[in-house]
Amino acid sequence: MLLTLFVIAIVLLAAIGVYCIIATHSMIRVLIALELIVKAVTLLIAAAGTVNGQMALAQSYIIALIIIEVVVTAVGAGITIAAHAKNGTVDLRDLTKIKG
Amino acid sequence: MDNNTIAWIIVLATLVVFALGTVMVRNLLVAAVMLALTSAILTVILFIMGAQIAAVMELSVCAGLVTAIFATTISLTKTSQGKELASLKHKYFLRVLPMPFILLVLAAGVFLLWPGMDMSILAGNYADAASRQVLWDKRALDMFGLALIILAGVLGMAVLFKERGGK
Repeated sequence: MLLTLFVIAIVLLAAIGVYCIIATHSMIRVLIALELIVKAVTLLIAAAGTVNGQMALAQSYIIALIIIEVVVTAVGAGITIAAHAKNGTVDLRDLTKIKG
Repeated sequence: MDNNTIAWIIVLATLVVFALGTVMVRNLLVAAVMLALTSAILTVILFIMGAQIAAVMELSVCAGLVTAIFATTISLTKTSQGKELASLKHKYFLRVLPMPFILLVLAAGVFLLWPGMDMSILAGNYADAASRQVLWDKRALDMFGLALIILAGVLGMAVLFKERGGK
């Protein structure tokens, strides 16, 4: 029962994040959606660690995931600010100059 | 349905509601704050499950540092100016603002006041020494990789503040 609850919460969190990425055109909201998806993965790893009885290993993975998450966010924020400085907008539809 | 299941339903539902609020609110600053609250609820969940070290990391980094990064980004891209800032003062926001705190207090009340509540149902296998051993001994090479990733993050922040200085 508890595992089912966790799976439902994980799926809902990931679905909310994916929905936000699909629905929005703002680079900042895309970063926020990525954060939500990472939170779903964090919960998934914690649940998996609990089920397998290896919470210590799960913790180390979660710590690595958090570090990667914050670095991705920082780099994404830098890209967002650079794009805003160059184009004056953070709307993904207006970022046409980087098309190949 | 026993008390533990009800408590977990409340906590997980609160997590999903905050995540939904993060996506649904129009104001980006409010969305960043809602994301921080989502991280705080996830911290509570990790702590109950026995992942204390990860919980502290989640609270300090995700609820703290990442929120600061988002606030800086929103400020520097000026998306919080004008209409966005004006909407912060709107009555609707003032009505909605206390809602997360009310939910937090309700969730805390369930944990603290519910008689016979056993919140350590999933936390029986926590071992601090084991966590340290895994992190520093078994995954020592991965820590080197993480250091490189942090270096990449520092360069990203350098880009962030370089643009600010250029302005």
